[in-house]
Amino acid sequence: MPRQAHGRPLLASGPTKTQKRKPAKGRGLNALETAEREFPQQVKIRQHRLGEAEDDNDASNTRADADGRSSKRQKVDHSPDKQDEEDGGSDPDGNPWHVGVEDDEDSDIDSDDAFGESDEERFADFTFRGSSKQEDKPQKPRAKQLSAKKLDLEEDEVKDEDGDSVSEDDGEEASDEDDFGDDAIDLATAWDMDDEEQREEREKAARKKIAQRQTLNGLPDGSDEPVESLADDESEDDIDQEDDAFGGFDISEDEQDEETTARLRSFVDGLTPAEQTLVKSAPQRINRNLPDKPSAFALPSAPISAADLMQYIKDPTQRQSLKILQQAEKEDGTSYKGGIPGKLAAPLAKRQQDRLDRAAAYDQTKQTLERWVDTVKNNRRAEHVSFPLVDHTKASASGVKALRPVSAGAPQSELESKIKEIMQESGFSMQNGQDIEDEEQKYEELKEKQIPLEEVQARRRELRMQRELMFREEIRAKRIKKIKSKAYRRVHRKEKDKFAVHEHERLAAAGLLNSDEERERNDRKRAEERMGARHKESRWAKAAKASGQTTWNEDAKIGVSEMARRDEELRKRVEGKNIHGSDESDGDSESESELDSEAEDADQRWNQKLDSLQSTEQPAGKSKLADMAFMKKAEAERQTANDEELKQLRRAMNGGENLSESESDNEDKPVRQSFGKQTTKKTATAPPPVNRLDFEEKLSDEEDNQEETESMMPQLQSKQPSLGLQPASKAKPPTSTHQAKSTNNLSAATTKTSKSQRNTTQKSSRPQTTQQSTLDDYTSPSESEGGHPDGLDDKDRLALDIFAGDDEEDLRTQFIKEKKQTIKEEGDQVIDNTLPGWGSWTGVGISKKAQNKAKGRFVTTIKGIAPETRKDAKLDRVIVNERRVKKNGKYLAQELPHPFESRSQYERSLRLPMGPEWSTRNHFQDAIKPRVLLKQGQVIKPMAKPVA
Amino acid sequence: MDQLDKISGQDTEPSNGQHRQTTLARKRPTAVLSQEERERQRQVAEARKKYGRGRPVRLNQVKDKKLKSALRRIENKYQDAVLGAKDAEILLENQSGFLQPESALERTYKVRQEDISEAVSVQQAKKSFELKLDLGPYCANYTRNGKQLLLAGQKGHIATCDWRSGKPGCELNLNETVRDAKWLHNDQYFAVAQKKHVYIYDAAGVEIHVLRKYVETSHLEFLPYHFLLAGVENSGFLRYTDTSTGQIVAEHPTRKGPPTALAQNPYNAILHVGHQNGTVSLWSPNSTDPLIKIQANTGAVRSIAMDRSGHYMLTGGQDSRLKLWDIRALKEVHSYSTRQPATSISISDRGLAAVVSGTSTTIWKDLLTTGNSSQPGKVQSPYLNYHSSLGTQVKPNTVGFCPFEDILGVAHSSGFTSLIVPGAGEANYDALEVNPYETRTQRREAEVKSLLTKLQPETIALDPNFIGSLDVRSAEQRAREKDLDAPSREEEKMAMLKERNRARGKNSALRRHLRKKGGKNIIDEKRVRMEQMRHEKSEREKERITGEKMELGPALARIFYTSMNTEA
Repeated sequence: MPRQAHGRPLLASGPTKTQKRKPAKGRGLNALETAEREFPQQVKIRQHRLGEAEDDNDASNTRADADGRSSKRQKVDHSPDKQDEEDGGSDPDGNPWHVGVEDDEDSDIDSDDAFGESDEERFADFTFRGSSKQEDKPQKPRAKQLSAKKLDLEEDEVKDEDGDSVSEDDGEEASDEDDFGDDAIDLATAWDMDDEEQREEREKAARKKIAQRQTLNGLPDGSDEPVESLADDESEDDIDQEDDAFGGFDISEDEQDEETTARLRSFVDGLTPAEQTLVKSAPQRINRNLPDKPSAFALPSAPISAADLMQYIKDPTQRQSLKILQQAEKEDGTSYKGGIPGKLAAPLAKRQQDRLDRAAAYDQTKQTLERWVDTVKNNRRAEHVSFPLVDHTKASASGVKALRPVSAGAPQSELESKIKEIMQESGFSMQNGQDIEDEEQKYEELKEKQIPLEEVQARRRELRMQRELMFREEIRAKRIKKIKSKAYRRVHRKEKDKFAVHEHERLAAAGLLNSDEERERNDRKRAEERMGARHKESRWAKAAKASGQTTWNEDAKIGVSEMARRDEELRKRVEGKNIHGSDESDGDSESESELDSEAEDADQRWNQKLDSLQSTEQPAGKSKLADMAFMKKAEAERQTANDEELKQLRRAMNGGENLSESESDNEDKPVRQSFGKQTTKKTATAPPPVNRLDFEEKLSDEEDNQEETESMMPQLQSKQPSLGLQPASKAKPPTSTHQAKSTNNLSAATTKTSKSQRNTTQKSSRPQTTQQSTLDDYTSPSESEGGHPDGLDDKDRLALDIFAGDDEEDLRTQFIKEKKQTIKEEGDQVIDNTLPGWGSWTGVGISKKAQNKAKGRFVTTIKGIAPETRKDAKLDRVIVNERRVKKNGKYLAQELPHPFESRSQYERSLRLPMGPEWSTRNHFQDAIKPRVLLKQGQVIKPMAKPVA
Repeated sequence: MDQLDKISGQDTEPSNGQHRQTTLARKRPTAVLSQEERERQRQVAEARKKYGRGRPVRLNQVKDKKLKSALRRIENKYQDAVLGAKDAEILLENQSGFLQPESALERTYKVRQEDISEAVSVQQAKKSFELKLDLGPYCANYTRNGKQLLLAGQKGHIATCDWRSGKPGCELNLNETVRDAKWLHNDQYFAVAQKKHVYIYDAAGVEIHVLRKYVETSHLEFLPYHFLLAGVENSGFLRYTDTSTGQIVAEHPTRKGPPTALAQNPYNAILHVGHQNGTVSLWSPNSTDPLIKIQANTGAVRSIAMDRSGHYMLTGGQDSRLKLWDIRALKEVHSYSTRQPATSISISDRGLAAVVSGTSTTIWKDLLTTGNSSQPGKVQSPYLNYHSSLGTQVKPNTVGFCPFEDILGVAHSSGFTSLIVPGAGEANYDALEVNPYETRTQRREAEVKSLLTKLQPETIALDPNFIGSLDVRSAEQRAREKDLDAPSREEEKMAMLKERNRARGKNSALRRHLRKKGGKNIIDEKRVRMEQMRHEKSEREKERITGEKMELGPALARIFYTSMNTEA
């Protein structure tokens, strides 16, 4: 705090300290005179009137940067002492002091205006601050920044200033003035930036330091003035006192009282240690020292308060106004906020003011304009804008179009009132539109009032207790849940199980158990349990697996198979099926089966039996003998035979319906084609007699073959293409050359078919195997020829041989050749640019070798389409022309239009049809609606001011 | 509770298209869908499946906000369009149906024409008729709206009529071979491929034009949206003529001998030409080579037909095979065998296929409609079957379904027969497209409109949606195609290198240093020295030259230096 920096003892009890004062100036001297006359009184008055602790706070508030000033003052303080001593005549103008007051009083005056001829000196620094004219200029900032080294610096400065001329003195004076000027400016800013916290903080710090100083500074300072002592008396009101003291001190210096100067010196000497202790807190101060807001002229910030001026003013009216000011300062922000500025801030420089004005004006304009932003944005984004604009707020009240919630308020329409009525009737809402829950709560509260207080309290306690318990339980559960120990879990599970069993027994004893359901449930549960990993991964199972016991140990083998069986059974049980009648089943399940069998009919039992038979047919373990191929085969055969038998049994049972279904199912299923010996199966599943329709599709070539051998149906004989021609050629011999040309001779046909068959078997994985079937003439008589199976007699065959044109093979090869040709043409083109004789010999007698050497020397390659990237690369019966169709090119977009980021986006945007032919009327009209619609014959007013 | 539900139901029921976007957007992606929400999604999916136009753009990949909102808007429009189209189905008031067998034993192909005409209304029964004409074999063609019928006998008999009312239009006897006849854009003009040339007649039978460029044309096709009359000649030439301007647009040699079949794909206006060697080639007027060649059959391709969607092609070959091709994937789907080569095929709007093989005409259902897999299943029995009642020797020449009618026109060796095929025609017509009941003024207006919206022949391509799409050629490719003589990039680079190194005497160490190191605009001591050195050097050179000139004298000097310069 600045006051501390002054080093003045502030406690009344402590010895009075000589303060480091502002430099003595002419103005200062005058002030001293006046102050000497006035001060004691004044201070006393003030003490009386306003000697509250709050005062101090406020005063400290107004000077946010008092810290900084203090150092400055210290520094300056000393120099004038000596200065005054040496050039005492240089400071006798009272003018500056007066002006200072005036300046403060009518702070409205612009700095420019106030700058008169007489003021030249005083305001020199104000105007020419930045100029290098003034020698003492650099000192100040230095002093400010290096407040830690204050004292040393001060000494130096004092020495420097000793030799200064009058002009320098002027400068000094000016610098003093400068302080005032700074104060004025900073006051304005300080008002704005006041913070309660800051203030308090500062205060605290100040108090602390004062205390420090009191202890440290043992310098008795009777000081110059009663003011001083007075000020010291008020140990706590540091700031006001400071101000007062400051004024007083100025005066004392101005008097050039030797005595005082001597005292001052002694004070300064005594001050040194105290100041040194303060060095610790220096850096903090430095920060505070800097102006909070960057001011344009980097003016130092030391606020001046009304109290400062009080002492110098005698005029009662002026004093009155000053008091008001003071009051305002104390109340500070509040009064200012109230709209009655206590005192007017010093005006800013015009440029600065203008800038602020501009900023404010800009903000204002921005605010007004920002109101439009939403509207403009919406209009810009809108797909269509129609003028005149519709005022939505006017257009419709809410609730006209949509049903509002019934509880919102009083029903507006008949419908709403009706609904509300219904709601009330059905108990969804109460008469006054409140919720039922609210109602209930209210009711409870009412009831509570009737109950005696103790009871209510007891009830509440109980509730609280319960809540607490619940909470604890929750916490416990959470903790237990986190336990990972398996052992813990096991033990607890066992306990639980035990408990459950016990409970169950108890229930059973009491006869409360619904036995069937319960059993079912238990069964299921157990099954699930066994199915768990625990069972399968039991130690025994693992060991058996690891040691490979199953291969040689009969017991282990049986065990494993047992486990597998069990597994299966359990799975079934989990699925909800009953396992009955299986001989391996354990005791309880058998009993169950007995129980259930009563309920179930005989058929089902049979079925189950059959099922179990089927499932248990496989032997559990396999010997090596059984692994051998022939054994397997025999086994498989036996299996199929058994299956067949079972099927037949079933068929007998179900009366045939079931069978056909199941068989068809079997056929439908995609079965891997198996080759080799499977005759038994074939014979076993004999095809259904005549079920197949005449025109049904044949499933595969094999089947075709089969059917060919078996069936007598005529259309099947015309499977091969050449056969289809047969009747025609019979009716009339091939007259047209086309026909004759393309009819295939038999041999070709047969070779082809065999080949194609081979192809199909080879390419069976390909999805595109074209199937063959007939498009038959249904009314045409079915041809049944003896002799040749393919329906051709010798004559026909001869005819075919004679008129045979290109057969399929030829056509195919031709096509492939053509394709190759096009691939070559559309592929990379190599152009040999070599000129004969260019860089090589040419003419007669050149060897072939040399000629070849000269050949491919200058070659250009034009990129074409690689065979593998062609569209028809995988289509062997298609040639796609990969050349670009130039004429189509003019309808292509040469480059991606602007807003789009990718081709797909652009093309997607194009594909939306516009015309009425491709869309509904609504869509069409929507598509062609212009963006801006103007209603004709209407005045279009500018948009109304949006409601902010 | 019920009442509450009802009330809330009332509230939410009228939510229509406008609200759905917002409600969708607001919900959490993992939130459980409500019943109506699910229903709505199902509707959208259904509509999209039927009327959708490809996948939506991934909006989350778009960075630009503006673009994102624009694309979102477009996607919403798509969805609205799709839903609108789905909703507009309510306007398709006419229903279509097929013959349905009552039991498993009943076969639809056993139903005869007499049975059908007895069962149907009198109005419909009247549409089944038979014309006995003796200048056959005939070929027949309906106009696009199915109103008029054009009959052309091979021996030169041409007749048009409004077949529904039985009103004859014109009748001509040309006394020369007629190979094919086709209506042009409406019932006012038709083109006839005669013995030598192609002629165009008007409705009254007056000869208007002779297309002398067309010589011995065997098949004709008319592309209605492009106003192109295409004819393929016995010589193998395929010619396109713009009938609105009379210009020949394109002439392409097929180089495969006399063509055996010609058909147009209604989806993309590509012509499919069948050849002797069993290939089908796909042509557009824009390329001199076929766009695609397909080895469809192993014998000559006798007939080709495409379905309305342009997905499937049926080809009947001399090898007695009827092949179903998927033209999008260019794969053969199925191969059926016929008793005799299928000489004519026609596919109706609803996917019925009429196939003529030998003397019989069979109509097949579900030949093209996809089964449960992505491809059509294989059909085992026909839908209908027809044998001429005129005798066993009557051989159908061409078959064609009448648009918007359940009628199949069979032109045969002894006249024309109109058969009733239930479920063949599109039940609902779009009058903006073709109007079967158009009046004279409507016809005129439609003519003008179609002329105004005529598509240029250059717009014909395999993928008709290519228009406006992005050209994906590389810059190099483009440059090369722009100027074929332009040197390639590598060549250019080489040339540049050469050019750069060519200047002699300009590559002194000093200059190079200045060029390389002194290029920056930093003038330091070194640089100044360099400049000075260079200056001095040039000065010296100048001095030397002047000295030499002096030595040589003015005349000689001139000769000497000019020669030196030219050498350099």
